[in-house]
Amino acid sequence: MIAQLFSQYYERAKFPILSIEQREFGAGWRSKIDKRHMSFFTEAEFRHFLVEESPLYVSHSTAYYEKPSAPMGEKGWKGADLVFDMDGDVTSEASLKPVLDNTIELRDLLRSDLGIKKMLFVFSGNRGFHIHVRDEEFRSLDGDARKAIVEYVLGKGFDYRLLFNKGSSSLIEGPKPTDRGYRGRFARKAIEMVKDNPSSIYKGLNGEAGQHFISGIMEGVWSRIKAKEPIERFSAIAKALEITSIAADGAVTYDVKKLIRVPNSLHGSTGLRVLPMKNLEDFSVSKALAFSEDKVKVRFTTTFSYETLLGKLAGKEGESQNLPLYVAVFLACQGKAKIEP
Amino acid sequence: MHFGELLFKYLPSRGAGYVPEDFYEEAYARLARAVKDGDISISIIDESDVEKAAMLFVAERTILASASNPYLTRRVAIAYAKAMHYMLKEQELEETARFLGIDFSKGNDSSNSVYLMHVSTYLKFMPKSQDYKLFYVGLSDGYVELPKKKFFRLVEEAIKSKLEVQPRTDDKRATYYANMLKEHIPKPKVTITGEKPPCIRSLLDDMARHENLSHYARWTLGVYLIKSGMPLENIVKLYSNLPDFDPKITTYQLKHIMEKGYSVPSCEKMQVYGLRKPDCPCLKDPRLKSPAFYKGKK
Repeated sequence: MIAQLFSQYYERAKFPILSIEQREFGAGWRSKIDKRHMSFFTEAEFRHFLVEESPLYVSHSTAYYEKPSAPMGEKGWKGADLVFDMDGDVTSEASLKPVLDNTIELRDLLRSDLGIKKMLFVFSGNRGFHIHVRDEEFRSLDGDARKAIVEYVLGKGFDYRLLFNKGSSSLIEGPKPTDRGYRGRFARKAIEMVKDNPSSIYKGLNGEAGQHFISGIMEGVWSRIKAKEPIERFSAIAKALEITSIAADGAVTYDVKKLIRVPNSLHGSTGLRVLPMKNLEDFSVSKALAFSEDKVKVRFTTTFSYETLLGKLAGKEGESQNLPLYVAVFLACQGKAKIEP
Repeated sequence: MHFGELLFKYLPSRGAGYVPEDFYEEAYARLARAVKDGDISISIIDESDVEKAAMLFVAERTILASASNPYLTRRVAIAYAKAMHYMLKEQELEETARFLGIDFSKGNDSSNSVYLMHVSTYLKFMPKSQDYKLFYVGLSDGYVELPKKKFFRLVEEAIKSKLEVQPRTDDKRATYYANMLKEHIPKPKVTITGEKPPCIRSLLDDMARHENLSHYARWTLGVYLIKSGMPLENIVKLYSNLPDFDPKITTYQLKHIMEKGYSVPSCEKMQVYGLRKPDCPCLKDPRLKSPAFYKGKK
């Protein structure tokens, strides 16, 4: 039944895939990827495959290849999109919010610091979001260069102490809010933290002491603080700059041979659309619903009660119920129910 | 014509061509010196000498290609890059940068010159040292801003990268010299006893493969080996594997570590500097605070 519903969805789906003929595809019926090294010349050919085969999961390479269906060493790598995979411990739409906020933060960082203009934002259909960078300047970067970008956006390997000069006197020189890149961001974050929660840096920064400290930062002077070993106190600022939702190892970004879920395909664990978006701010799970609200009969195959992206769902093994089609598909994808014909 | 122009503008447009036999002798001598001492001489080329300088360089490249040894290629590439950084005038280095595809613009930050380039260009040639990471180069709106010193260090890295690309050759004349050159590859006989943590093992492996370690990586390894009781002369021998090895500088730096009595950096610090490995036991056991406390696999 699920295969039939997926097939029907794919009959009318459109896929925003750049240079489809240069991408490798992977598809899964039992696991995320059961078969890879596939290629398609056109969107119509790809759609025909989905309609006929109805995989639960379908991904394409972030890379562009000369021969996308050849074995790995013989594909002829031509470049790859820079893709970020934002993931979280998501059990409900509310718990998706911090991941969305982090994704927005990452988008803003990519725009302001890396100057990236062309981005496709995608809801993964389950636990997070993807950002596909399509500016051509970034396509030819190798794995090490991509790793450097991941480290930068994650704040990984950032030794904030290198932003400071401490001479023999007590004067500590450091970044100003108007400085470029991380220096400016560090200074601006410090000011924000002193204003909102000064004790997160140092207890003695309340009130006037905080104002005095901020006035110093504006000029690049960081010694207007009475703490012992003040530079050590600033570690909280570095910590606050980290974007935590990027998949821990950033492998999707720096492994230039990875596959990423096809935008506008269906996610086989939820039946939700892998939703391409123009604006992240407009996201809601309801926009990712691929199936109607028409009621269908389902039989529960297990007893359950849990929070999901569609709200709280519950059922008792062996019982039947009429549910909206999108909920029925979700439960069937989760292995909790079967849709009755 | 300056050397950057010769290497990256004149030669690619001219093609390799035939190199007379006697150039190989001189080319070999220059390469042997570069491998032994880490230096290679370059000079401003008089127009009448351009062809000779070109053929000599082609002969050197052919011998290196025939030797097909990453250590030799890397050591000579570093020697050339350093010599050009040292010898070329500011304007010549800037021109060389453009020949190498580094598209930049020049501006001023208060009184000093700064160089702006797109981050994708920067990332292709970014040196390994910590202070070249994107955090510290004023990345904004897709462009990094480098002070003069850092820019020229980047150009040095770009020259090295370009010269590290090994050409192919079937020139039989070069084989004789290539075999002689291979005799100069260091093969230090140093026994390393005891089990080492993955992070340290990885640095030792990189060194054995003649990889060029970052400053922090070689400092860390130096501290670790000194603390583990390895004699200074053995550590120096081990470091001779590095393609930019200089015995005087290495000995001086290791003695400095000994005098200052530095401690092996913490695992946390190793993480910050990108030296921690996924199989490091400290990731599972937070009580393990430094590679110095590693007792081997349990």
